[in-house]
Amino acid sequence: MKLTAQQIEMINEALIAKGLIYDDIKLELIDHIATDIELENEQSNFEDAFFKVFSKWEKSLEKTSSFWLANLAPRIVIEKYSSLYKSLFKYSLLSVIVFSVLLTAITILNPEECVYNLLKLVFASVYSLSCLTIITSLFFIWKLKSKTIYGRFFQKNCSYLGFYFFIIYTFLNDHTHLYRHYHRASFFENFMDWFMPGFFFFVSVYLIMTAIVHFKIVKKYKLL
Amino acid sequence: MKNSQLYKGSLNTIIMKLLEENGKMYGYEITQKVKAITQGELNITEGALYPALHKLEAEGLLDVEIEKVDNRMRKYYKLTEKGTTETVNRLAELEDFIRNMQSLVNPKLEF
Repeated sequence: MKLTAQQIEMINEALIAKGLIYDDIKLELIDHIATDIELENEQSNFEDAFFKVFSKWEKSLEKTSSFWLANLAPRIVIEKYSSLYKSLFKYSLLSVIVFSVLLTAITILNPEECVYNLLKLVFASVYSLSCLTIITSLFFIWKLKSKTIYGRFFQKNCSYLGFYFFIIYTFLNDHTHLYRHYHRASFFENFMDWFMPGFFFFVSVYLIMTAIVHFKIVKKYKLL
Repeated sequence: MKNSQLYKGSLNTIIMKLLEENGKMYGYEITQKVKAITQGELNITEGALYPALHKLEAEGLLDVEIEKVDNRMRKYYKLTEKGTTETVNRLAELEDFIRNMQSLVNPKLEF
């Protein structure tokens, strides 16, 4: 027998009570649990079927914590969070290594000061644009109210945004005379000089990508 | 999942094969289909199914469609173009694996 809207709402509330607040994960679980209850319902009443089906989800919904997320959350959420963090570090580290090697190679060629000035202008523009995009995304995620795991991941990691700003702008201000700076620096110092601000930049790019995924999910899943 | 360590590495390929045959499927349907095909021998748990589906989706091998069914939303998975190509490769790998295991476990049996 098909479940009523009220019974579906009961499943929704039970999942929220277990700490599952993200609509993108919840939507799928509600359908899975409801379908399972409908089949169980043919042999027993709704309440019995409800408890029987929820017991199958005990392990996935069990509250736990991890290195990546100290707060207690259902295992299914923690696993998704961990995979997002692993992708973030994988993407940022690979990108920043390529970026730093490339920029160090340019420095080794000892180009004219105008090349450094051009690079500085490009970096200042790209960094400012990424910061602006992050702030705008934060505003729209807050305004739309829909909760997805991608949105939460973005919001949580943007709390490090102040630190990110500090690193980037210290880098840009310290390098008023890029030519003179790099002319003196060793290969390793040079590489690390590009690596540090570059890493935070690629972290911000990844975060922007998660914000885009959040907006796509909100639109596709009709969560508005 | 029964004998989970043995089946674990093949779960993604099993899902992709089912989607190749059935077009689009939702989570619960996949678990039931596997159960029916294996006559209840293989039972994919919820804890294993959804992380696998989400990983395949993140890799761009699956696409999703959302439809309203009865009083709720249902998420259907289907193979992308890249996923269709990858299914062929993974099935070939799995068949090689099965053949090699068969040779090791029962060397006298010929295919």
